[in-house]
Order: sequence, then structure tokens, then C-alpha cells
Amino acid sequence: MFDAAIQGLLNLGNFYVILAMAAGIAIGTFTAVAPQGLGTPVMYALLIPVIVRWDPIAAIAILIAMDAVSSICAAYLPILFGIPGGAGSQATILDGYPMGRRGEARRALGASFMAGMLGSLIGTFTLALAVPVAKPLIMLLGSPELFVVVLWGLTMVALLAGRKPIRGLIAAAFGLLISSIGMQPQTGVMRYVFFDNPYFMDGFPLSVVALALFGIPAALDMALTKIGVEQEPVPLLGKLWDGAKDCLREWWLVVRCSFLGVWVGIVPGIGAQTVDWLAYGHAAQTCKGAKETFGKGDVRGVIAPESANDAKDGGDLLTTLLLGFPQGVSTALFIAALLAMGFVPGPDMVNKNLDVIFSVVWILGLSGIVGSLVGFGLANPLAKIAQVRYSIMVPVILTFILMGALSADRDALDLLMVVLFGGLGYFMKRFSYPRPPLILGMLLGDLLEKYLYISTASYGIKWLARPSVIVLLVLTLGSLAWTLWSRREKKSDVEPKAVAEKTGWRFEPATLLTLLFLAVFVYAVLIGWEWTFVAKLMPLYVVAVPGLILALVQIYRDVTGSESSGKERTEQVEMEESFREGLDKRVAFRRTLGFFAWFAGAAVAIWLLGITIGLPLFVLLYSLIEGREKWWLALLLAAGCYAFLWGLFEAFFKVIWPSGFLFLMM
Amino acid sequence: MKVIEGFRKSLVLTGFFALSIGPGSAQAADAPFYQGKTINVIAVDQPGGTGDLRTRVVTQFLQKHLPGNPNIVMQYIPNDILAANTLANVVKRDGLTLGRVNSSVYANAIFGAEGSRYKLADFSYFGGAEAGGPYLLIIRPGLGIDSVEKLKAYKGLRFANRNVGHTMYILDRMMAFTLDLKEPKWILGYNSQEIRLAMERGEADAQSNSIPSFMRGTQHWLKEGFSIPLIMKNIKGRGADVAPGFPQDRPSLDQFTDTEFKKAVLRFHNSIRPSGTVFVAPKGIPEPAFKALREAFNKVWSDPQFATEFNRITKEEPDPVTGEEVERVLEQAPKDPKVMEAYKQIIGAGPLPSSR
Repeated sequence: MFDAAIQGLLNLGNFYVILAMAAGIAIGTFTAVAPQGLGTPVMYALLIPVIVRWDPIAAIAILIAMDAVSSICAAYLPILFGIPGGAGSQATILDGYPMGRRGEARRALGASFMAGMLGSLIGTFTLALAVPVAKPLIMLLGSPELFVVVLWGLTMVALLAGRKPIRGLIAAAFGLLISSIGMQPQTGVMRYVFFDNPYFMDGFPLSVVALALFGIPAALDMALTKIGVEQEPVPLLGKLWDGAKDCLREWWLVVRCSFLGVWVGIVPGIGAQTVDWLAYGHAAQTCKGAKETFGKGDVRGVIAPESANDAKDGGDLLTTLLLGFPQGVSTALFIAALLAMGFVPGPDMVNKNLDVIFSVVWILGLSGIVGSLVGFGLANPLAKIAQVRYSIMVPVILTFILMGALSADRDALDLLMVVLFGGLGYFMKRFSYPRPPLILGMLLGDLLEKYLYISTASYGIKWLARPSVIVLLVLTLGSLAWTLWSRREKKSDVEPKAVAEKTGWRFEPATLLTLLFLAVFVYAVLIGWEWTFVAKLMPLYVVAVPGLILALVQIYRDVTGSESSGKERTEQVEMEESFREGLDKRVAFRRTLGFFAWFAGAAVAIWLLGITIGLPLFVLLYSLIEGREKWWLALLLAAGCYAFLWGLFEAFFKVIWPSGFLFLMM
Repeated sequence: MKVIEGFRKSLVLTGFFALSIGPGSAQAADAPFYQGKTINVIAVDQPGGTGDLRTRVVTQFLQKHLPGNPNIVMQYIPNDILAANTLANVVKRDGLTLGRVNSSVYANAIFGAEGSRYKLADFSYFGGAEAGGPYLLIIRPGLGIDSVEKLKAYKGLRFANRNVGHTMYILDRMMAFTLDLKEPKWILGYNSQEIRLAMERGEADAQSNSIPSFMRGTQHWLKEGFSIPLIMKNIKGRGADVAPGFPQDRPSLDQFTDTEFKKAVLRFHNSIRPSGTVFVAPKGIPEPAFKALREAFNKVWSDPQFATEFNRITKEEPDPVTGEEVERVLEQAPKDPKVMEAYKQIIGAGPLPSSR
């Protein structure tokens, strides 16, 4: 094995391999900052037909380097723009964006890249050392064990809900309900497929919901304060090195989250999208003082998800190379490329091409280091984005959101959904409903139902008696109990105040949102009542009925004043809201309405004219009329948007966007 | 100043529209239909993915064989029914939009799957690179099932699969129906990699797979005690011969159709699955476009360079089916309501129909 490791390193001593790695790093950096729809899978699909003719190590180098760097640099979007940076980098928004708005973008980016580098190296070493133990570890975890692991992930709702546990649970129930939309694999029952529309049959796209829930409130904050025009942007504070030092100081958190990331990468079935949320939840549960600081710009909330996300690649490749199990589209394509080059991932490759596996290890490690250095290099100039005025930033952010949304299913309904969830995101933030539990529910609902069904269908109820299940269940329930107990400690300080505020019956705008959730749960029960037991077990009995009860309890608390809401500063894990403080209510209302009119108008323009015309038109009009930018700058922004949408996608990559409704009618 | 600024803004907007709409293109009357044109291929994939790779190899050769050397671009609708609905009802019938859809397009149309708004007759067919299959049934070690007789005697076999209606699920059910298996169970919800793990962990007992896919991914199982009691030939009548390293002595499912009814159901199954994937255009495209596409696709399917390139990129041997073959098989599909009703039960989630 040692010889293979040395040979793997020697394989890299070739000019073309170095060049390929450099190209991979450049492309990976680009895909990290590009909107969703132009991610690693697309690049892989475009490159594979070309590179399979190359020297195999050079071909592997470009693919691995691209993927590794794309993960490491994925923090730019959440920190600078407040929008998700693709799978595995969503939770970074929760603390990264508040840091960016506070002027600490450089520190957040520094922490993110250092965490990424360390995570990547830990993932790489694990990949190198885990060859003998990988298979037994994977075999140890069957569907029953995975069910308990997913359940553990779901208990993190308790953390992410903070001081508004009922609202957090309602949001999580809503997320779980969304995850049940589409055809249930086990029964073929189409659940909540509105108007028989095929759009809903394959489930609901998480990327649309995440973009809308987090991206729209972020853009709205800028539009409300007219940052850079009416309000001076916060000066850039701190340095990249400060973030790097934070990361080194929190080395134990990095190690823990990295191993969590490796583990999620290794175990087929958990999914890359969950890794950052699990790591964030773990950090929120274990870091000192997290209750007070997480969600408000705590650097540890950046370090945890980023280290886990980058370490995950090592675990992912471990399963791909040693067992031939791809964990996602990118690794499935990587396997296709390996097969085309004559390597058969799995035992065959371990026996015949161990040196190539070690070349992958070395490339991954080197790319992690170089990718982080590239990230550091670009961070200083990019951090200045946080100071750009709203009239430029808002159309850019909305461009990313609308383009990312339309990339999900390439259907006009993507646009409608992003507008609806954008509105929901705004109201949830406004009325102190935590959004992360909704995302977590959506991420894990599907897995929870699947593993519960498979465990019961395969083993009956005997699976509950498996020793590994019992151990994991004890750990999960213990962790939940610890979280709840630690939160109870402070409750006594808050409760008397809340009781003292009781002044009889009252009605608050937040109650309207709770009523909306109540209506959704009632509708879910009514629609699903006729389904078979297996089809309705999760959406009705596990989600909608408890959700309905919780919504009623919340309404009672709202109207009796036993829980103040809205204006009260909550300690839940949410994004900082302080940027609009001091703004006149009427002005804020008018600007909010105006913002949503622009946003919905952009979606309608895309639907009618197609994205290549509709989106640049929106950018032009917004910057000219709302932003009062100079005409040449507005034109430049619109031209840039057009060049990106048409030039890069349609002309260069030959990927056509859906036609506008008007053009289809003509 | 306001007037000048307003004039400038109007000028900018007018210029923007002029640039967006762009210049039109003239076409000579005697030029090939596709000269100077762009064909849009709607694929049932996300960009990236192995399906996308296969489609791109086909379009690369289609461009080569279509007179006029048109530009071909990809559009993606990653949903079987949505893509078929769009192709049948939304896109223009101008020959400039094609689709690459999965084999489910046939059964969804025949049985009126939820959400489908198209019929088989709504499309012109140009064939596909893969006929699909042939298939096998593999059993995990430890159950002692190494023959069809032992398989038929076994009670409560647990099949691992993806979802109700999936091609492999239907194959499982066809095998259980044809062999009269005793109390078979379906453990659904896995993806293809998880099925492999479930088989290795003993969480499931049996799995259907295509022989080429098995040989690519889990050939080593043959040395690890997994058994293959039978195979199922594909529409072209090919069986174990597609893979030289595969055991050539396994019986085929059609040898166990011991009643006329079973034979009819199996015939129906084969006839509504004439290809693994298929290229289509909405019915009613201009005749010159249809002719050019038919000829070009047939040239792609018979081009040895295509076979080499397809194999190089995907590591799969292409097994093309032409548009004419697809149409012929679909026309010959049995129309017996009793057979169709039984088949509908087989592809659904409920109990299997009686095989008598």
C-alpha cells in the first residue's frame, strides 16, 4: 500500500497533470460563484467526452480539482449575497451573511476557506487511511440505523427553533409536508399533486425553496435600507487572517465537523445536502454560548458547515472508488469517466489500480490547499461586494435567485414557486418564524419516511431490537433531552415576563401566518384522508395532524398574549434583522410592496418573454427606474446579464432556456 | 434635462429590444430543410448525468448526418410526463424541436398515467440507441436459490427496487407473475446504489437488473455466491449473448409461460417497451423535416463510428432500435382488454393478478 501511495504521488509529476489541475481549479472557482444551474455536474457532462481521450491521471486531475475547489469556494454566495451556494453550503448563510452585512465579510471568508482547507485535508487523510475499514463501516449501517440517524438530524429542529419552539415545530412540519409532495415510491400514490400537474410529481425542488426563503429577505433588506444610497454601508472590518485564526482556535470544532462530513460522505443515503445542516446543528448544540450568538454572525456558524462540506468530498470519493457507489450526480459522472478510461471503481480498482486511487487522494489534498489559497486570493477584492449599493446588488441577487430557480425544473411553475416562497420567507422572518427548521424538514422528511418504510417492510418490527438501533436511539434521545434541558435553564427568566405581559385577548399580524399554516395542515388532512395507510402515515399522522394541533396552540398563545411576537428580539437561530432599524413604517411598507412588485414583475417577464430577454429587461428597468442609475451603467448591467444567460449558456454550452410564453403562442 | 434623460432612456429601451430580438435569417428555397437552422432537443434529464452523456453522443452524430449541418442545442425537462406533455401539446410542429424520452412514455400513454395529456399517436418516432435489457434476476447468497424450481418454491422473497411503475419494478412483477412466486414482497424506495448495498447486507433478497449494467457494476457477485436463476430477453430477442463473460446457460423467462394468458401478458409487456429511450418529434412536422430526420437517425444507428464513440463515452454497447421498428412493435401490441387489465395490475402497487 505504501508503494502504491508513492506511485500515486509520482503519477502527478507530469506537466499535463499539473496543467489539468490548474484548469480544474479555475473552472471550480467559476462554478462556485456562478448561479445554480451551472454547477459541477454540467461541467462534468461537458468535459467528459473531451477528457476521456487524455492521459487518465490528467483527466482525473481536472475533475477532482474542479469538484474540490467548487466546494471550498462555495461560501462566497452565502456570505456576500445571502443566497445558498449550492448543496452543502446552505447553512453558511445563517451566520455568514450577518457577518458580511456587519462588515466582517473578510473574516467570514477567511474562516470559511481555512475551515474548507482543514476539512478537505481531514477528508483526504481519511480517504487514504480508511481503505481497509470502509466496507465494514458501510455494511454496519442498514436502513434501520439510517432511520435513527435521520431522526437525530430532525431533532436539531429543537436547536434551530430557539426560543420559539412551537413556531419552529410548525415550520418543520410544513417542511416535512412539502417533502411528501409527489409520487410515493412505495405505493405509487400521487400526494398533493395539485391540478394533476406533473411539476409536482417528482417532488418539490429544495433549491427553489432555499433560494427564495433566504435570498429574498436578504435582497429585501438591501432594498429597504437603500444601502449605499440612503444608508452608508458598514466599513469593512477585520482581515482574512482573523477568520483563519478563528478557525485554528476552533480546531476541535473543525475536527468534529470534518469527521461528521466524512461520515455523511461515506454513508450512502444521507445525501450531501444535509451535511452542512447537521454540522451547523451539532455546533449550535455543543458550542459555548451558541444560544445567544448563533444566527447573528458567530464565526463558528461558518466554520462548522464549511469544514463538514469540504471534508465530505473525501468520504464521498471513498465510497465511489472503493465500492463503486456514487453518492450524487457528480460522482456518478466521475464513475462514468473512470469506466471510459478503463478503470472499474470498486474492488477491481483497489486490486489493479491502487496507485490511481492514491493519485486521486493526492489530487484531492493538493486541490484543497490550492483551492483555499485561491479563495484567500480572491476574498479581499470580492469582500468589497458587501459595500456595493443596493441598486446594483438587488438586481444581481434577484438574477441569481430567478436563474437558480428556473434551473430546478426548467418550468414556469419554478418562477411562481420562487415568488410564493419568497413571500413566505419574508413573512416568516417578519413574524419570527424560524426558517431553518422548514429546510431541515424538507431535507429529511423524505429520508425519514423512506427508511422507516424499508426497515418495517424488510424486518417487521424486529428492527427496533437491533443493538445498533438501540444504541443510536439512546444517543439520539439523550442528545434531544440534553438540548431541551439546557434550554429550560433560562426559561424561568423569560416566563414571568411573558406572563406579566398578558393583557387579555389580542390579535397580531403574526397570527395570520399561523392561520395560513393551520389552513395548509387542514387541507393536507382532508386531501389525504382517502389514501392507503402507508401513503398517509407520514404526511397525515406524523406531520399534518400534529402540525394542526401545534398551529392551534400557537394561535391560542398569540391571542391570549402568552407569547409576545414580532417586535420582540428573539434568540432563535435566525439571520440578523437590524439593518432596517429606524426606518419609518410607511416607507418600509411602501418599499416592501415595491420590492415584491419588481420581483414578481421579473418572474412574469421571464415567463412571457423567456429568461434571456425577460431577466436583462428587468435588470435594465430596475437599475434605471428604481435604482436611478446612469443609463450607461444600467445598460452595461443588462448587457452583462444577457451575455451571461445567452452567451454562456446558449451560445457556448448549447443549453437552451425554456421559451417565453409569448413566443410559444406566436 | 429631464426631457433629454427621458429620451435617452427610451433610446436605451428601444435599442435593448432591437438587440434582444435579433436579425432574422433568410433561407434559400432549394437548400436542405435544416440548413442554417437550430434544432432544440428536449431531454428528460438534468444537465449532467449519464442519460445526458448518451443523448449528447447521439446529437453529435445526428448533426453529422443531417443535411444542412444544423446547430443542435439541448433543453432539459427532468420529468417524464411533463416532457412528453410539452412535446405533444406545447412545442411548435416545425421540425425544430425534438425530444429524447424514456421508455415509460409508452405505458404512461396507454394507461393514461396521472398527469399525462398525450397519446402514442401524438409523436413521430425516430428510435433510440438502446433497445433496453436483456435482463436478469439475481438472488443474494444464503437462501439456497440457484434454480427456477427452488425460486418457485421459496416463500416471501423480498425484491429491492426503486418505486412503483419503475422499469425494474415491472420486471420484478412480471417475473413473480409468470413464475407464480409465493408471497413475494417489494421493498421500495431505494436508489440503484442502495439496492446493491441492500442485497449485500441481506436487507433484500432479489433484484432485477439489465445484464450490461450488472456486468459493469456487480460482476464480482458471481464469485461471491449470488445466483442468477433466470434471464429475460429483450425486444430484439437478445439474451446472455450481449455479454460474453456472463453465464450463457441461464433459462429465459419466456420458457416458463405455461399458459396462453401468461404468454399474452409477456407479449404485451414486450410490445409496449420497444426501446430503452426514444427520440420523438410532435406528430405533424413538415414532411421534408420528417424524412430528413428519419434518414439521419437511421444513419446514426448504423454508423460504426457512432457505436465506437457511444461505447467510449458511456462504456455501453449501443443496441439501436429504429423509428420504423418502434412504430411496428407499437402497432402489433395486443389489444385484449383482459390482458391489458392484468398488465395494469402488474405495473401498479396492489396484489398481482391471477395468472390463469
